[in-house]
Amino acid sequence: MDRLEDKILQYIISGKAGGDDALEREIREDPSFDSSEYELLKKIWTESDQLKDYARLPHDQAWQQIARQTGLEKAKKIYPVREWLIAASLTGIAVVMLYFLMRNPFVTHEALAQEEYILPDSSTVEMEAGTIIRFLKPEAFSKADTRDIYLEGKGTFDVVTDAARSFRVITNLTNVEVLGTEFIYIARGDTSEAENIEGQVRFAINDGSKSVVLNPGDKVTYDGSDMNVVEYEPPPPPTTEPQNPISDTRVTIADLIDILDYRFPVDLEFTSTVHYSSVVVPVSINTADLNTLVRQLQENPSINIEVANKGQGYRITSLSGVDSGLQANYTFQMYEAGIPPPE
Amino acid sequence: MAIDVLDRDSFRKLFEENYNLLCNYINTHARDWELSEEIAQKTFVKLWEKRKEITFSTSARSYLFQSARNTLIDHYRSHKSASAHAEKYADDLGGSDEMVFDDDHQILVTQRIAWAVDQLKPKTREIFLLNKQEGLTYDEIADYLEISKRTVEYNMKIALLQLKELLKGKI
Repeated sequence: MDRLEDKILQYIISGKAGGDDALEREIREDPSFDSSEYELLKKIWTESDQLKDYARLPHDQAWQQIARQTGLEKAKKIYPVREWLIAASLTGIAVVMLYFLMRNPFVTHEALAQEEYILPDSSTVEMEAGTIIRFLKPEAFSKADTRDIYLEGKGTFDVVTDAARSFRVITNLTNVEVLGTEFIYIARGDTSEAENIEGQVRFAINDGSKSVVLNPGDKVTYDGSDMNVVEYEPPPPPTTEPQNPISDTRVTIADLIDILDYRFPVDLEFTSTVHYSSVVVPVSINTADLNTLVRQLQENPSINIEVANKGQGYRITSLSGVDSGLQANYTFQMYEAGIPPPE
Repeated sequence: MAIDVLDRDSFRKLFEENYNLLCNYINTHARDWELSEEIAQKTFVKLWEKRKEITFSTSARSYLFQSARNTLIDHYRSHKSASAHAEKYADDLGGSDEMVFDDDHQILVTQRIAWAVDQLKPKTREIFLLNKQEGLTYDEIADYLEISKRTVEYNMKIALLQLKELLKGKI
């Protein structure tokens, strides 16, 4: 904004527009004064006071009410059914369920949300939502030669060691057999995937045609025809990449947001999830190139930032700092006034 | 516009474009959001039920606002005995001239400003609304957001500048 524009805006936001004759005269006498722009600014300023009484009301419920009253959305027809018929049907279903429940030797459990389930031998399975396990009722489970669990979905098993009885997880086409260990097993339809975490496990096709021993970190997948084993490879030793130079500039997160917004008004967008805070962080703010600056912010251990690409710039959805008790030595006001940062 | 061409889709469109505006307009008289929503919904129901009998002399929007005003007057008249406040409003509204709902109507101007404010950057919008909607002073906003008063003023200026560009020729 130029000098006159800044003066006009300052005059209007001070709430004195129209009340300070001398200042208004001075503004109007400026050769670059544009009367229509000035009047529009004043109108916006005055009219926006009405926002106090303006509400944004939810439409959906109102539309449903209207649609119901006008018959635009017909209520579902309920066909008359004799109550005794419903009661009899429900009772019949209950009796049949009870019969099968008493005859069924298995316990079946479905995880409605992620949960840890304890099996009768105290082994545990962390189940993903929607995963189903089935095993013998506790008394039969403790007497069986093998501890068999049928799985559909994803489970992370932590198996209690029992040297006399192996622990088997069986899916549609494959199984994993262990004595005591921890592993992840996923079964969806004809596809199985197992990852061993600790100890050794044997992954096998149910028809006995193929099997493989998995060491910690090894993974195996089976799609109904091919078995693919990925052996664990330890991660390469950390390389000594050059670190970001530690900056002597220390600013609050609030001032950092203002400075970034001021420097890159178009290429950087802050969403409403970004909040000001007074936490002080060390940061290099004079990096010329936006891409490098964003990368430095992402690599700065004192800063937590979430960034997405947008067109030619970036959209910042989260920006916060790690509070390490630093004192700020630079502000947005200093930046705006042209004072260079101490870095 | 011939009202008999008002099918379900154009009725829904009319609702989406005008429901909020209508509620806000009614509330300028009623000062009661619940009642305003009730009157607005009644108005739309009435419009749909009478769509084959009515012809618009002006615009569909003007018709809606006139009809809403009449519905509000009817509501107040039916509650006259219960409240002196209602009686006063019924007389005031009923006694005034036929409503002209043109483009400069206050509630339309406010709606356009609200739309433009929604286009501002989140931080600038938050500061502008804290001042204009919540009535906080610049010092109070600075305290609340833990920023300097100067940053608040800077954002108010930016808001005003951007609103001017967005609203040029619209209000």
